Amino acid sequence: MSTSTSDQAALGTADHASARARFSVRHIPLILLAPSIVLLFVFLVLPLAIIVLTSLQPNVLLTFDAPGIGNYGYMLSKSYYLAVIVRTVRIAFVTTLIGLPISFLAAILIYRLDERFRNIALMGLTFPVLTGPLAIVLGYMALLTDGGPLFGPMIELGLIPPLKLLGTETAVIISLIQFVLPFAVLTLYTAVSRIPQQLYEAVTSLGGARMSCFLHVTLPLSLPGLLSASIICFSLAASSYVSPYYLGGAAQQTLTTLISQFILATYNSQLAAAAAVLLLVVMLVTIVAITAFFRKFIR
Amino acid sequence: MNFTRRDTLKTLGLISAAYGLTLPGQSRRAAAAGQPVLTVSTWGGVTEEGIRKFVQPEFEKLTGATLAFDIGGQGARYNKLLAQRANPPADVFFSTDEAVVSGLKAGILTPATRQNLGNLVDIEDWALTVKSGVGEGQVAGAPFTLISYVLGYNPSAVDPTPTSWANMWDPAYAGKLAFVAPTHSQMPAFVILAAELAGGSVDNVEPGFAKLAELRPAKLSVFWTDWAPLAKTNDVTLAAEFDYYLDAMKDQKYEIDYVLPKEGGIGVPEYVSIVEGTDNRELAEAFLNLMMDPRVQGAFAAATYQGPTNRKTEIPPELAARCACGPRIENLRFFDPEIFAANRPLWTERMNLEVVPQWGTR
Repeated sequence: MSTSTSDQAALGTADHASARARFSVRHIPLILLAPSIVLLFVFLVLPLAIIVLTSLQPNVLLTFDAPGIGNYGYMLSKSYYLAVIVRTVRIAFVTTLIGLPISFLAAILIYRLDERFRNIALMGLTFPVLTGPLAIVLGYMALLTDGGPLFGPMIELGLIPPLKLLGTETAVIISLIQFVLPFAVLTLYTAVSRIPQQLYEAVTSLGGARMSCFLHVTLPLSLPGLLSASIICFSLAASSYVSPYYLGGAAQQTLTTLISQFILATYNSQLAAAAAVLLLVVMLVTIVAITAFFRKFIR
Repeated sequence: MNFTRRDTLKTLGLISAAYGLTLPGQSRRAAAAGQPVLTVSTWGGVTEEGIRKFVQPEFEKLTGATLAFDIGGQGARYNKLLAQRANPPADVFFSTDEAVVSGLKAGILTPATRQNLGNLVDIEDWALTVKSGVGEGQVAGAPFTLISYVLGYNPSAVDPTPTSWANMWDPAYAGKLAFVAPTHSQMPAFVILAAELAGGSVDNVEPGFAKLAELRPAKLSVFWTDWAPLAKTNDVTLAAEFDYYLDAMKDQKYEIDYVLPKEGGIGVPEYVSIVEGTDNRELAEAFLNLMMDPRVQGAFAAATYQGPTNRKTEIPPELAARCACGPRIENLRFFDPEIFAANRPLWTERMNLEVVPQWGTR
């Protein structure tokens, strides 16, 4: 079979047009993503690169050939800074460990509420987020003192010894659990609400009790939500500043309060940058570990 | 691509609008009206309120310019100047004398010309603590007020009344003391004071760190609100704090009083200085001069309990009793801000590494 030259030209033009159309369609996601990628590059990658480069410079405390890892070597060689890193991870880990089951339980209970009460509960849950952490933490400062309204009467009556909670990790963790709770509950509520009702009916029809529903339906199907919630809890707790600053104080430094100290008190942006990079590394490593842990159970 | 006149006008309009949006509301309106604007980098709260109330009207009348404010903690504002030195975000900068020393060295602040500051001749000598970084006919900045660091205590929980900085080490106050955090502006003063109490000196601060490690603070503070809730519940009964904050606490019905320790309270002159690279130098100097005006300082003292630095300032006796002024100045000690600026990074590091961990274990 043969075709005329004009037919071939027409076919060629049609091929080109369809190729162009395919090209355009294939590239639409890329074109749509472009603004986000540019924004990410300008406002995340670029500042991050500047922070990393700054962290490799000598400063008023340390002299070394730039660029170099002298700041990291210094911080990792001092037991004080190692203690700060460990404390940051410990506070975030304990907050996650306690906050996650509480949030999970709250999410399940809220989901089971009547729709009107459910909306009220969700609104109530988000209320502390709207007030911001500072007002809440200042409230905790008044509440957790030995002479405060919570413990004061019990201590005066001799029911409990003076607790001296302010300035301790315990005070920081208590406030952080409360701080991360709304974020975790909302994440888990979404996960729980997506579980098809038929699965519960299937378990019940096979004679399963409530615990079976939880163990064989709610828990396994909520694992992706639990993974997201634990990452959120850990990240928020590790990067929080207000609670460690006000309730922990200078004796309970975390990486965030240390960064602010380097920047605001001693104007040492190089050591501040090194501490910021360490915080980022700590968070990345932990998030990878959390993800690996949950992946084992997610089918 | 052709750019029409309309496109050009639109672009210019958008750029102007975008620039306008980056300015605070007041300066936006002033800039739009073609009125010169002097941007004041200062602390929020009493200082900002005082400037708005007692300085701004007079400044506007004198110069025809208006004021815009960049409010924040000293460290954050100082870092802004460092980061934006090519295009400084403010024209004048409020700070402690130590930050003036550091700022002049870092090239973000610049001295003022003495002859443009008519009120300077009436400023007390003790207020002019910044001596370095200035040439002939120049002054580092305008010391506009004096505050002092003293020993606050709860009169109904403390007996006898404390008399010395050494009282902070009394076992009776262990776990009941609010003390300066390593980041506090007066931390270097306490390194020196502790060294002296332990047999050292300003040139030998080594014993100071060991002595400070023996303290047992209940709370480390940067600002009085850090420990105020603990004072209400008697978890803090003794506190090293600025006099004017303690006076403000008294007005708020806190059970608090204060003494100037026998070794002397710490005198802290506060400065306003000119930002290097400002386009409004003339306005800046007019502002500095106004901050040293006796009427302005009198009004500031009445509103904030901050002592005047201008010897011509007249304040009523009942107010003088609550300010760092008059006979009280003889009981104040003025540290060299050069020493603070030169040693702060290393001393902060030593406080963190050697002292604070000891407090944590107690």
